[in-house]
Amino acid sequence: MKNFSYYRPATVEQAVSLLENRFGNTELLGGGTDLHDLQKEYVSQPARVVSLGGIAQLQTVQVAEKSVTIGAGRTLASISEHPQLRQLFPALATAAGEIAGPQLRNMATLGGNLCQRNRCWYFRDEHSNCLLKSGSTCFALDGENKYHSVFTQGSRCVAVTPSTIGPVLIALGASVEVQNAAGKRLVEIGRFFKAPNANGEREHALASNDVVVAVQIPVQGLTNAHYEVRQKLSSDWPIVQAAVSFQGGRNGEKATDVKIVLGQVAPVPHVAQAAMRAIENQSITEQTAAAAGQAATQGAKPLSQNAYKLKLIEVAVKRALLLASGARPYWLA
Amino acid sequence: MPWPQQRRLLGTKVQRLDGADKSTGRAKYSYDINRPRQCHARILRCPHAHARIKSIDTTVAERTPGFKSIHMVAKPGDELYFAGAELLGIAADTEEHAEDALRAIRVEYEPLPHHVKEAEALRSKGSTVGGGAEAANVTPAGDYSTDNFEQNAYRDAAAVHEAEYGVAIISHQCLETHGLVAQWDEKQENLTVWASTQAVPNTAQQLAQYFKIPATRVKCITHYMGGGFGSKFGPDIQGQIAAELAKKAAQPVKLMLDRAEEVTVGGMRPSAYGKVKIAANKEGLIQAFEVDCYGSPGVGRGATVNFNLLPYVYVNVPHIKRKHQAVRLNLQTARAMRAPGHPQNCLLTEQAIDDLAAKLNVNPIQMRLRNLPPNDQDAIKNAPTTYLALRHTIYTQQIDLVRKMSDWDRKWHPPGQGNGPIKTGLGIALHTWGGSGRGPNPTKITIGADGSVLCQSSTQDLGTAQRTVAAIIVAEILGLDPKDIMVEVGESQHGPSTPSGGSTTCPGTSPAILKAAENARDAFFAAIAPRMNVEVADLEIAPGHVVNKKANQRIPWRQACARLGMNPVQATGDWPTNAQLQQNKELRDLWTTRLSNQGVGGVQIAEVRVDTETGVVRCTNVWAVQDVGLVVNKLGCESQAAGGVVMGVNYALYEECIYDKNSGRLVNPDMEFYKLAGIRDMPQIHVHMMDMPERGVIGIGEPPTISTAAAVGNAIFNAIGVRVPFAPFTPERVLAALARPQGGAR
Amino acid sequence: MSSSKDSPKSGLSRRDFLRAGGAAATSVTGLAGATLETQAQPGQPPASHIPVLGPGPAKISLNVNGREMSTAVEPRVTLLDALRNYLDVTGCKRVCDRGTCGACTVMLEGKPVYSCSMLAVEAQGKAIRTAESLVDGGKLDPVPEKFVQFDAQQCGFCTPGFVVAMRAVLDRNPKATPEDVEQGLQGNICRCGTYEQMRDAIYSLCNRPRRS
Repeated sequence: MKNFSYYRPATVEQAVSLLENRFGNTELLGGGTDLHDLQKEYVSQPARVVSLGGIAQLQTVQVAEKSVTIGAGRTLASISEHPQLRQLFPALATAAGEIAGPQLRNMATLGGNLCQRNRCWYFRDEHSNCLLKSGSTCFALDGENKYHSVFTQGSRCVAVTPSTIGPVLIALGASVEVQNAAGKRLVEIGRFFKAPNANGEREHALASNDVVVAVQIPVQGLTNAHYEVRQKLSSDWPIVQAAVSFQGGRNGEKATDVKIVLGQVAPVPHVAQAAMRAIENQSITEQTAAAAGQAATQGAKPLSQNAYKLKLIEVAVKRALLLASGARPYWLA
Repeated sequence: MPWPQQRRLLGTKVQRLDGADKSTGRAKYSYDINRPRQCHARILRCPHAHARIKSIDTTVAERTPGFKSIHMVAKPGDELYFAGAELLGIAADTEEHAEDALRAIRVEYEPLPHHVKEAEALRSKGSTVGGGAEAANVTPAGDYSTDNFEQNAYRDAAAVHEAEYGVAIISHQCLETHGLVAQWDEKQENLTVWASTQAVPNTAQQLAQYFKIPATRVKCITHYMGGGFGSKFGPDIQGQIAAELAKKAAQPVKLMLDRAEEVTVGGMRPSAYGKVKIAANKEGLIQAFEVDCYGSPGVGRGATVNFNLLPYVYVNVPHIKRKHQAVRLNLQTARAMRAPGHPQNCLLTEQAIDDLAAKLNVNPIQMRLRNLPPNDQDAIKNAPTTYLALRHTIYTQQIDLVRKMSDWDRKWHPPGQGNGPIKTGLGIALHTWGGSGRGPNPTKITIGADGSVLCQSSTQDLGTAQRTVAAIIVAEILGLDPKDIMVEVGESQHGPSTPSGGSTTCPGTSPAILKAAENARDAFFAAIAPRMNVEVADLEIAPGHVVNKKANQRIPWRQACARLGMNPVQATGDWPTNAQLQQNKELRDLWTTRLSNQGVGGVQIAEVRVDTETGVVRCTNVWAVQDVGLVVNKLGCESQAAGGVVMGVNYALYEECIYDKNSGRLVNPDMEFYKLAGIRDMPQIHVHMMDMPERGVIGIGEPPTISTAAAVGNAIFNAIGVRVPFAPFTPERVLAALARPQGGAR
Repeated sequence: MSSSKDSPKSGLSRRDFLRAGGAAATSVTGLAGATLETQAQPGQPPASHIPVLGPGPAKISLNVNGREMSTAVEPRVTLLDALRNYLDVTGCKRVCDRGTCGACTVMLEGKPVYSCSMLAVEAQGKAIRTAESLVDGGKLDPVPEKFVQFDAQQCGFCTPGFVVAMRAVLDRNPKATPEDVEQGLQGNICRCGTYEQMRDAIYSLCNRPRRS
């Protein structure tokens, strides 16, 4: 790890005052579970690290009638265990609770989860000078890409979005509270993520002098669930993730306002429009859920080693819909 | 001196003596050694899979804060053959400064062509691995056929099966990385290293040879070590570098590899891929086994399977043809890993047998019972306690046991049968291993007048509870509790000892410890008998006591020891020399077929649950039966066997070194995408040790890991009805097998 | 390597404070590695009293197993490395060094964390507990005691991390089920393969019978 100066502001304003107008020289430190990995690989070499750990404001959770606000500094563990969040947003609580292991969840923060860098093994190898560094090639295209994107969405970098909270928040219609020197603003979560395609770009659309302060989730009585296909039950990345939400949809009722968002399949969370159309206004059965799953792969262009993800998308969508509908998870039989 | 007929401690469950120190973090591993004034060192490695060094500039590095010393191991003009090859080492006052210094070094390389994929290297004709005329990437590593194979092999075949099987390169992934702390004395004459090694005296000797100093001037200490699995048999280049840096800095130097280095250069188990053709007659007897296989030993040479053991276990197949090619690649040289060659052999053999059984419509257990190798007639006469003489008997008993333990007869179904997307299956596989020990393993025992007992040798405890093994044997002979015995291991000045490879430590040390304990007892009796006015023959050991048979008197151990007065008793025990063993049949029989032995069999059944929608496999149960000769510590033995199963399940489902063909670099030198199971991913493991005390001690560190992967592969086949040909059996491979046009039961 | 008992409990002292903000701010770090830093950020609201450490070694104090220990580390030094390399507390092991394997697990304010993925400076003022705390004189805590009883360790390099993670689950919920405990070990990896013996230990700790 390259050495740096460590700043510990007590307020968001102080933190903002330390940021610069480009990424790289100054980095924000949340739980550290991503930043320090990148620093140890020398993929990230900030001269200044601004810790958010001393800012009490980032730790709050406010549950109001119409919306819930979760401070960006809340740990994944505290989100997954929060009784009201579990009740209102099982998809969020489950997704947060399935990330890695308890040690990591006790450290990693909500804001850090949304802003973390991708896990592409070329990006994280100091000696692979990929297009997110100063190079011009995405090495995964002609390389080892079994964990990479199947929807490249025109992106030159085919790493997948690492956040499993992101797809859930999109399905729940959340917004991100962002603060910079000019003040606070709300960014709709659907506009939060952005595929990086060059050096200095991040996996989100924020500027280098923005700080994620909180996430707001509207309380709309949405039925919601999250399902991830992963190889290991212990700490492991999902291979494919699906987050779903809808009105109704339980006990044979029809599901409306359906949202289906996929993780780990594209450089940003992938909103599966065709799948949403397929299940909209239907009651959720194994058949309709499976049909939505099949529709979810529409437009996919797998790489040389990851066509198997299409099958996993079908299954993840089907199972997430069934879970949300209250059906008995047949796969645990 | 045979093993005692009445065993009070041997074969029971004894808790490891150092368990509390380990589990509370007080045990000091090499990685934990912090010497006064200690520096930290790092190694600069080539990032290219094949390159020539054009220039190295260390001037800036030598001016960085905290810099202490630098040692070069490569120079401009040198060709390096794998990513991770060493260029130099650098030491600084802190680990952080060592890293800074390392990164201040500038190296220019001329990249050269490389291969890191077996399939690509097989297609190429050239050489990317250096070494002159015999430097082809693809080199023959075995070619054998029984007589008139072509004419006879398939003559009586009722079923023939032909398919490809294989398994990827994996890494040892020792949790304590390779490395050591090196310290010279003030005169720079005597070197002490605290090394993570499976071969304590050898490590000291190799460093002495390297520095051209007498072996007595190098001391190696390994009180605790965090896993080796066959990858840690000497100081390695990092040991030489650390000692050089320490000498130049005149300060102690710690050099431990980091995780990426450990996976990249700390050892790997070679791959094996092969086309197998196997045939049986209508009785289900295997008539022909043909295999054309290859694998990569990395940049090194040599076979990646155990060539002479193909087919594996079922060695009485009449018609055999085998061919093996070593595919040399631009990556680290393979190192021995827990039963070298055997897991690969087992996968190539046992999976083909199951596929053939399915074609014949024969239950896999029947198939194996029919084809077990017979007990060898010569061996029955000449060496009746050996594997050769007993193998049919042992395997038959083991199959019977494991079949009952797993409830096979009720649970097994023909391949692919079962409703719904979640399928379960059972699979079986057999294995064998040597596990014989030899000397020298001199062991010294001291009995003090205060009743204390000290047992010393230079052997090492890799996690096998070797201290406890020694304590059990000594306590058995002296009538004490294992906790009463102070055992010191892992220091080279205690004399020679054999490296811990090939499951040889327990069988190699136990007879020597027994001999030492008996000698100590005899010397003790000889010392106290005159003071008790009895003959030595009047004395014997009872638990906690010395018995004076003449006076029918039981003297508590400490009181008996008090009669030693000022002088403790010392005695040693060791193996006869190899020459003595060769010349004296009686001696040989005693030491190599009664005190210790070689050759074991084992049978495992795995149960899996396959989600056919996702391709995710969970191994839910493994039943393992293992013969082990005389069990010294049942707790440790069972623990070893269960651990072997865990490593086997990892091999079957999760582990793979993934190399990028373009850069030649490993993309997963970590514990994140190099997947290793946690507790929730692991099956319930049911171990049964077959205690056969008449055979003597046999090592079983390796055998229980051999057949697990093949059993898992066969269980998956049984569950889904199609073969997943290549391990690890990951979701994408399982889904691909299920999607094959010829999918469905074969 | 150094340690003392008289150092301040919370990490950052007044002397470490940086006065930043306004049109320009000039600051000097308090301790070793003193660097002079000037920031010019026109238009920023005043941000006062932002503590800064480094890049040179800064004196820190860590509360380890109930004992205040102090040393000087650069900000980049992780809690794991500070414990192992600067304070000689070596029960927590460095294995993956990337927050995957759990060998470095310590409890921070009672919660298990990866000490490899946290800066030492961030752990100041918090109670740090390592495996070494699970023995008092000769008396073993029930968790390591069961590890010994059932031989749930071989090489032992992962063991202190497992033991701490397991202790954390049981501290939080003394009535934890074996399933709860296994969940709590999701972030730990053993290479020798002692999981089966670990399950024996877990069932025993949860007072559940295992196998008939």
